[in-house]
Amino acid sequence: MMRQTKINLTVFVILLALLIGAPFLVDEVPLRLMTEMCYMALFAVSLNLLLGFAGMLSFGHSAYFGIGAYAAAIAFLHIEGIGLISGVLLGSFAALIAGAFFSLLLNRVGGTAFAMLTLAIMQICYSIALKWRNVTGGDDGLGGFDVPDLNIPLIGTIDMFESAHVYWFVLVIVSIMLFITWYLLKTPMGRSIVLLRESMSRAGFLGYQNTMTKFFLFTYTALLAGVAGSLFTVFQQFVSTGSADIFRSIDAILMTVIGGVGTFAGPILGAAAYIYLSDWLSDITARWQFFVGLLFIVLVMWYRGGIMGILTSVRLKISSGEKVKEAQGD
Amino acid sequence: MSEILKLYGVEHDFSGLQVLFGVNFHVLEGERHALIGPNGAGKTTVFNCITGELHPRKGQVLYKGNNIVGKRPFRIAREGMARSFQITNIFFNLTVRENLQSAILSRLNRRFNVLKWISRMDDVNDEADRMLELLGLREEAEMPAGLLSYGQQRALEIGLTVSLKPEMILLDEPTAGMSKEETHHAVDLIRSLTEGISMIIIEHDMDVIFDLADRITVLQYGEVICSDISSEVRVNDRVREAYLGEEGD
Amino acid sequence: MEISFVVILITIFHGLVYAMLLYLVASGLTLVFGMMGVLNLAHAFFYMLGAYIGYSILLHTGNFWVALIMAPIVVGAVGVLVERYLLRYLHPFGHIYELLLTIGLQLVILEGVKWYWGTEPLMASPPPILQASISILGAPYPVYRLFILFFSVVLILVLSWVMFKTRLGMVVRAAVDNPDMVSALGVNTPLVFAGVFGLGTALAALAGVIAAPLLGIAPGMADAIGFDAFVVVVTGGLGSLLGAIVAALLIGELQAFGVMFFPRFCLVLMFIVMAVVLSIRPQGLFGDRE
Repeated sequence: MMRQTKINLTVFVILLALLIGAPFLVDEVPLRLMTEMCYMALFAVSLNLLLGFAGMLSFGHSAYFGIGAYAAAIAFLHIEGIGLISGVLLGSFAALIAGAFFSLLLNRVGGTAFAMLTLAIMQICYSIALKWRNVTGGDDGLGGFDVPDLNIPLIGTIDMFESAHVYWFVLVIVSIMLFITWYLLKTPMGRSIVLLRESMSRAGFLGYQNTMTKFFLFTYTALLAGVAGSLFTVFQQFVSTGSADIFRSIDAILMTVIGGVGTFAGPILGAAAYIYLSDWLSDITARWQFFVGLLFIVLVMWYRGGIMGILTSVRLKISSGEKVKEAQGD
Repeated sequence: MSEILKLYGVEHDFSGLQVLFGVNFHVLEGERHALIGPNGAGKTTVFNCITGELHPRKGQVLYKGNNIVGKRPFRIAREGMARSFQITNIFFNLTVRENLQSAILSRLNRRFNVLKWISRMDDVNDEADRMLELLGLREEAEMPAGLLSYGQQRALEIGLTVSLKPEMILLDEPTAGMSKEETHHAVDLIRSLTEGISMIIIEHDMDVIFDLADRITVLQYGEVICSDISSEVRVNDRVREAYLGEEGD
Repeated sequence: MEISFVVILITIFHGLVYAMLLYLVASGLTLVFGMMGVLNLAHAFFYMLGAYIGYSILLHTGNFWVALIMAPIVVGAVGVLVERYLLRYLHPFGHIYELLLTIGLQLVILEGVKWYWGTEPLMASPPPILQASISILGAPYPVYRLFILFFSVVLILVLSWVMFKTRLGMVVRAAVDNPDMVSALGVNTPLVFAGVFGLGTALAALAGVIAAPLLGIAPGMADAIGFDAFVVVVTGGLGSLLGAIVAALLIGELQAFGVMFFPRFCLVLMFIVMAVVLSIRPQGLFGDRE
């Protein structure tokens, strides 16, 4: 298995180098697309913590994305002289609080009731965003604010008008949050979360207090979604109800399934693939979502492992093919 | 010897259908106690009332002197009472090792540790290795538990329960669905793993019962008809008539 | 606005009409859930499909009644195929995948409809006989709405009679309650499953055809009634037809009065109701604790 780890590491390093070097390798339009892929990847990973790792389908996750987005926007708009990081922090924190609050309701239900309750919560948040025009701008959205530049001593200034700078900023924040999540999943806390999916009753009889686990899970995933939402605001310099609607939730579900439910990297690949696909297809036909829907059905029916599943089975075929060769060589 | 568990007047019904009519029995510290009775007598219901899955309508469950009625299962588990299930309830998608780790982590109160990877916790993994050895599952350590044979899964089921290092263990038909040989093997395993632990075992196999149990409680139609040492139960008329008589001895 | 008795009465009628439509959509949804444990997220999109297909049939035949009969049959057939070839295959893999499939179906149906019929709203009018208005306590009330009310009530009574008074209905109810047991008793459960799913989608399509002249035909129509239908199903209790009718009446009237008197909060109100019910009694008003 050492060889596999070496391969993984090499691939990872190459990808990382490409990601960092992207602004020098691609034009502005693809770069903006990549920026979107970054924060949507974070959003999808947070959804997958619920769906793939804890076994809970949530339709309401876009509520936290929206809360993060709006809170950051409102901060940039109304708080004089607020810094970039502070704005993002505020947005993320607002989502975290919301997550903790709603977890009180969500803690007691599971399965379909849970999914429906998340839907209800999302719809309520969406309605608030739509109706509270004074604060959120209603269906006009919230714009007209400047996202402040960020001065980093010894490195330079992150200029919000430079696509490359925005991209790097988003990439760094997303990478940090993804690393923390990746690390977390290998700790006992990560195991507690997975046990929710495996057997809540067995976990309980082993001494696990599932309500506490769920509280942590709901709060943490809301935080991640909120960070993604705040980065959305930084990138778009504009926020509207589209950040908190059902379509955004469904997009995250699509990305997760395309990439591979229950794997860490799946939603990241899925986000990249989905955004690239939708960008490319939407140039070809206005009805591109029809094909995405078909693809989705095909994946759910026959390729439930998504892209990660396909990659894994390819890798297995290669390595078993090699084992056969080795055996034959003897 | 003191009583570690005592049921006192435990009654329970399901939506009006009475299943337990005032169950009384006790388990002494360190003893192996069998709970037997025909199907539908209410044995698993008694277990569920003890472990907190159900809250009996009336009566008390005294564990180490304290009434635990109303407590949630995880609390009771943390107080040293562990149970296994009649229908295998392991973590099928996790590997055998991961299954055991989960139990050990819980016992060590590390459930919410966010700083250290499980793979880096040597004490947990060493203990898991030892348990794998005892269960005879060392070869299958990295296999998903769902791929084990039935007998192996039952062994893991017991392994999970024992990994909590409980003071009291409740085994619900551990040999269900096993062949004679598998049963023999399982009983040896149970015996070796539960040295000194107070036990209640629900069983149908009479050989197992008389082999393992110090005292037996016989349940019929939700009532205790006899609760005594094995040799006495064997010759009790009511018991023979109600239960053993059906099997012909 | 003067809140006279007549206005209240009219609003109550509006609520009843909407409640009937909701029930037609929700009943299929709740039956399927009770039987298969699957919440068909695409259910409201079959409603939409029914409306659009009904429109095309109307266009070709010029006859509303033909459309009323044919559209549900077509959509019901689609439903049977979906259950037979897609959902059934996924059943061993768990509810999550069944739910995910229905999300995919949503997209496919929505975009398919937009592709074939375009994104502009379509005009549907009631058949000539039903285009008049009658007077209720001096206020004009469209006959068509009364027709919806009447037709739905008759349909519900017929369905209830079949469900509760015939052997077929008993088999279906038993299958909804305990599919394994029913299968062990020798009933062809796959057939029942496919049939009930098809019936559910057919009912939704029927609701779509009837609702079209009232609510219009547009790509957004699925979401519009879909959310309310979910609220009805969840509030009433997943799997409970009785719960569905009670909840439909509740939600229908809430919607009618909400639109009339509290337009700003209307949208949120439904969801607050659902959130409250789910938090206090997750199985709904009449549901079984699963």
